[in-house]
Amino acid sequence: MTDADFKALYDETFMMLYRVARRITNSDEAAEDVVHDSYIKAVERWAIFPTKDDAKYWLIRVVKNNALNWIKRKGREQKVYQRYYKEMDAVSDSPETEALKNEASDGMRSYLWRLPEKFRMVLVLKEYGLLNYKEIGKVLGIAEGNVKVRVFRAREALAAMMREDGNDVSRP
Amino acid sequence: MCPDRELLSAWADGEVPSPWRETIDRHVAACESCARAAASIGAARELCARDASVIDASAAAAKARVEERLGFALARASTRPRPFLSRRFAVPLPAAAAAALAIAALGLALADSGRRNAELRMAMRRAYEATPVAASGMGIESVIDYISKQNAAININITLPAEAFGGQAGEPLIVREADYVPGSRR
Repeated sequence: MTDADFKALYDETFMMLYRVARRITNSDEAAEDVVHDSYIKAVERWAIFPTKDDAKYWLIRVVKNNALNWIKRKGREQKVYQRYYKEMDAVSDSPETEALKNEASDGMRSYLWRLPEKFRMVLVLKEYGLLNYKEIGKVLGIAEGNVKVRVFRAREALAAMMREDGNDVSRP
Repeated sequence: MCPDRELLSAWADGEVPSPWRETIDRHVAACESCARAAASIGAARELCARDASVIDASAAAAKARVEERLGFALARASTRPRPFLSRRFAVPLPAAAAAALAIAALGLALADSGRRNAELRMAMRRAYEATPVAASGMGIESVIDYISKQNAAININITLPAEAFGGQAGEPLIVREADYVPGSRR
């Protein structure tokens, strides 16, 4: 592997990976660490990728998984701290809820948090990763038709939430 | 007839191939209900795009920082000698198949050769262990007699005296078994 090969992959994928990681973790610092660690893993396993596209899809998958793991780890840590300090607060005991509170006025971010994970993931990869259905299918290991259905259902759920908030542009 | 909402969602993502895409383009332009649904999808996409542009604003600095951190890791990875066994080589499929066939054929040939060598070694061992029937100068008649009394195949070593090859050339006394006549020198 040459520096030039890696730099080309890095330039091509960084923004997309950062957006995906940032949208899942909801933290600049965590997104940076998640993306950095994923590139390190890619460097160590460079020889196993037959093509640059394979490396790209592998990276997206690793970033997604690492970001989700970060969320779960963060949630566990918060629970431990809260138990220790006896500051149990049912409303702010998870990063998801905390993010929702912080970003409740921030449109799409708060809607995304309220979606089930399998719908949120396809939408994040579609709208933030800018992947097409075929690419999303490769990353998530599901059929292209399944991606199409999930994107549609995610949008239906979003539209319902937007209507509840009186934010429905489809109304005349 | 209106396209179903799932198809409309795929259309908004540019995932519907031509000519269906153009058909839906025309339909959405003419149908108020589908235009509203398309606008709803478009609004959601627009919110995502705006959110993504906010993230992009902080991504440029993050990219530089991560690149700096990765520079160290990359240099370390490229200077570390990779063990030979962990290297991978790209081999075209036909060449790999031909190599596999050649290895399989070579393996079979070696196995067969080993089997034949083992049989030969056994035959030689049996020959060495054979009874030295003619060692005491019993004559060819006694040898034939001995053979006729055996129930199974046997190996016989016939060791001729060294003087038999001492320079006298000519026709051997026994050419083949069929020509042998008891009591005769021919």
